[in-house]
Amino acid sequence: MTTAIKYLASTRLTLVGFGTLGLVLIAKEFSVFSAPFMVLAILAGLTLNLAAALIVTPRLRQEPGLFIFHLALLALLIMAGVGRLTHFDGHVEVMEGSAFSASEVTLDSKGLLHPDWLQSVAFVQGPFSVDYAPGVKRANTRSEVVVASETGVETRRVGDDVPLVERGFRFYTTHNKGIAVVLTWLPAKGEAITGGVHMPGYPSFDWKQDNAWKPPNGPEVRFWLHLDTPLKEDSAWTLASERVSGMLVVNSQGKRVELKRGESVAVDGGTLRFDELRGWMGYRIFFDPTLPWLLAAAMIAVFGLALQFWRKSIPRTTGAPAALPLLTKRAQ
Amino acid sequence: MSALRPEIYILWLGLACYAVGAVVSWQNAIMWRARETAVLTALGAGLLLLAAAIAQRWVRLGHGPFFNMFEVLASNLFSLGLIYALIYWRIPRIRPTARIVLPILMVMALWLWSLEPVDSHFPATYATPILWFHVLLGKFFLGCSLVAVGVSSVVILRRFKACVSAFAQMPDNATLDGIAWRFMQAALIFESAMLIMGALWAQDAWGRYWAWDPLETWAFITWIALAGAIHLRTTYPVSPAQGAALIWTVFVLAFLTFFGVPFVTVAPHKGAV
Repeated sequence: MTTAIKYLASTRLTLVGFGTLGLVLIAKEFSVFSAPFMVLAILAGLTLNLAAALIVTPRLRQEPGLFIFHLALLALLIMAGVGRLTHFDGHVEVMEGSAFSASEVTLDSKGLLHPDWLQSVAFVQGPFSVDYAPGVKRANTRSEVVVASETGVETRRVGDDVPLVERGFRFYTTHNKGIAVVLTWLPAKGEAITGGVHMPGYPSFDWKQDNAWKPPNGPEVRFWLHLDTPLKEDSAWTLASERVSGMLVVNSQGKRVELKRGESVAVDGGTLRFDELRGWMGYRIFFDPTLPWLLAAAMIAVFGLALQFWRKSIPRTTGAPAALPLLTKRAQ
Repeated sequence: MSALRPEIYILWLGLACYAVGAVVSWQNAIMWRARETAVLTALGAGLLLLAAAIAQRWVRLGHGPFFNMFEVLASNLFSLGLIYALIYWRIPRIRPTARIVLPILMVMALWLWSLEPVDSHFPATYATPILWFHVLLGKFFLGCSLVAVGVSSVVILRRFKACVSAFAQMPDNATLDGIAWRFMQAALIFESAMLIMGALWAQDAWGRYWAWDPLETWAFITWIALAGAIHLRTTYPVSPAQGAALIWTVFVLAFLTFFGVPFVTVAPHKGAV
């Protein structure tokens, strides 16, 4: 058993692990092949190698800097693994004035042990604005969201680098946002329905502001939004839904109708009313409960390295001399 | 081509001072002179002029030199020059390495000269204090690697008869090897901290701390190469010349990561999203 651990702890094995990992990553970068499982397997192997080295290599335990660094590195690798097992990555579009719904989230990836409590996250999307520099270069995004708090409700302002954090899920605004057309469907029989049709991202797809919707028991209706103000490419401007106005072109079964805000059109099965324009914001959702612990472990690892370097390199006035002092006193 | 602004002339003047420093350092070797203060003075003058040029551009654009290749190269010419000048001042016994380090800076300066000094837009994702720590740590990492390259290259150059006299006054190869690897160990600390700060920034800016984008991947490959090289030295007997080759390998990887990868990809680091 001890022999096996000693073999596992070999720095030769560490070098093989480093070399293989480097080659796999280079191969991935040059699109030779992409094998995420291979990266995971090598990292798992290096984790075992490191754990074994901490057990059987006296030098790693005797030198505080080396010990702290390697122990923190081991914790980092283990937590990164736990983080991958419990993580969640997804994205969602939420219209101004509407509530976030977990059922509308598109899943990008999630870990096998992810606790599914996204359903318990609740917030309402408020107004947002996005600054653009000349050349349609995106600058600051300010998005207001209303969340429940102990005192009732509170409004928070989030952005690209200030996430909304609810139940461990971090919601970041993205470049993906646009304009939604709010419509009310008045069926010949039954209750009216009001909802939003999200147009493609704006201004990324300013030339393609169209979408379609199929009313209950009716044929598909196509929409094209013609904005009153053309996209400003050469000057700075701010995207905010309250500043956006336009005409809605409705196409249904070969019939083309132009609607202004508040106007209606009769289509098969009922009447469609163009209520207003609102914005929709695309959020990236991230969940990894190990995040603060990963940061702490990484900081401790760097502290360990720095301690080791300091003990070995800086000349001391008392005790054993440093291995190889870099700073020497000039000859008087 | 746009009209050159005064800041550009100041920048060229600063780089000309670096060139003077490089010439004087080689003149010292060829003519057996020891005008080390002249090298330091030229470096100092170059640094002041570069700082003035960068500051002028900073004030005009309202943001630091973080984005396009022109800005990043100019900023690194300043930071690498500053780190090397401090080492040159504080560690007299490795001063002849100026004959290696300053020509490397001159190659970077020639590259900078070939670039159009276009103004850049500062992406919203760059407006975070974490960027400062990330960039500063990266500069210290590259600075330490550059000094290590300078010191270890002496071991290689001394193999050539023509260069023996140029580095005759420096310590023996084993001592140089020890000094070079101390700088590489310091580089490992700074690179590790830079990766952590980069992950923090990526979490805030793009909602993920690590996504194996090309820059992250190459930065990690550089880290593996550096950590691997240090482990190699503790596992096998590595001669000073072999050590120099390892240091050069890490430096080339780091150089490509800093100045190659961010500009051949549209990954988030470029602020494309």
